[in-house]
Amino acid sequence: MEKADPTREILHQLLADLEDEVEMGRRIDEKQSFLVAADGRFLGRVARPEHSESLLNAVGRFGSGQSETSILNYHGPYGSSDSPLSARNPLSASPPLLFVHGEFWGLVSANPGLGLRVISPDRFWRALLSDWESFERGEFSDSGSIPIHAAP
Amino acid sequence: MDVQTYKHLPVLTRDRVDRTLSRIDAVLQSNRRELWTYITFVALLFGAGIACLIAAIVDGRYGWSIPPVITTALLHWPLRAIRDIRRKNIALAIAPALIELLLADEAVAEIRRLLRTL
Repeated sequence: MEKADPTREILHQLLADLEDEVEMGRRIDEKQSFLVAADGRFLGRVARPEHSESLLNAVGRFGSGQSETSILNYHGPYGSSDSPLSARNPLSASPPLLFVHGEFWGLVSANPGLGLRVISPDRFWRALLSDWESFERGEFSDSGSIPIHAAP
Repeated sequence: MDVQTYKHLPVLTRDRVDRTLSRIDAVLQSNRRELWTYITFVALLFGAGIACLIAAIVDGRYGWSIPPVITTALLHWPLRAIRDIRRKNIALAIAPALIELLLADEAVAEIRRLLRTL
């Protein structure tokens, strides 16, 4: 068995982080709407439900209740009520970040006292389910009443 | 919450970069220990070879000039290990500067190139 080489491991980790960063830059350039965890992990995008990266794809990596990278997985790191990275943890200080149409919008969290613009996960899902196409275009609203620029 | 980013995107966060830098420091220290072990080993082998050679010349027993040939041949592996460790140390020392100074896509290309040289 080959001995683990920490130098290579570090460089590979760094490479993966940088590739994620490049990937996110691309998403921002393409004006996508998406979620990213505070640890940098991509958590899905707003797209038609058939899209493999869509938050609405119930069998995909980001929309399935079983997937580790889904905020719908209530036992996972991004959806449980006790994980520090979770949207559903009311005490979390580092919940997922929401980008709408390529711009940082705010946080998706059950903790309203974070100092930034925050949307609760339930409200986020309601908005997404009611009209994901407007959401994708950046016209994010809750039940059609709160346009993005006026959202709390 | 303060969304601390290393540059402008929330992927490579300050915290993540700091953790990577700590790991790099730890590996550099461990490499330095390994390097000194090899250097000591090389010095001992070399010293033993020279001692044998001097003994061969002084005593006129030229059979003793064979061990230095063997010890010199054995130097090949530790010297190669020393060269590899130095190469790794250079890569590790360069990596923080790459993420600090270059754009993410340029840093990706440079780190790929570094990995190829290891």
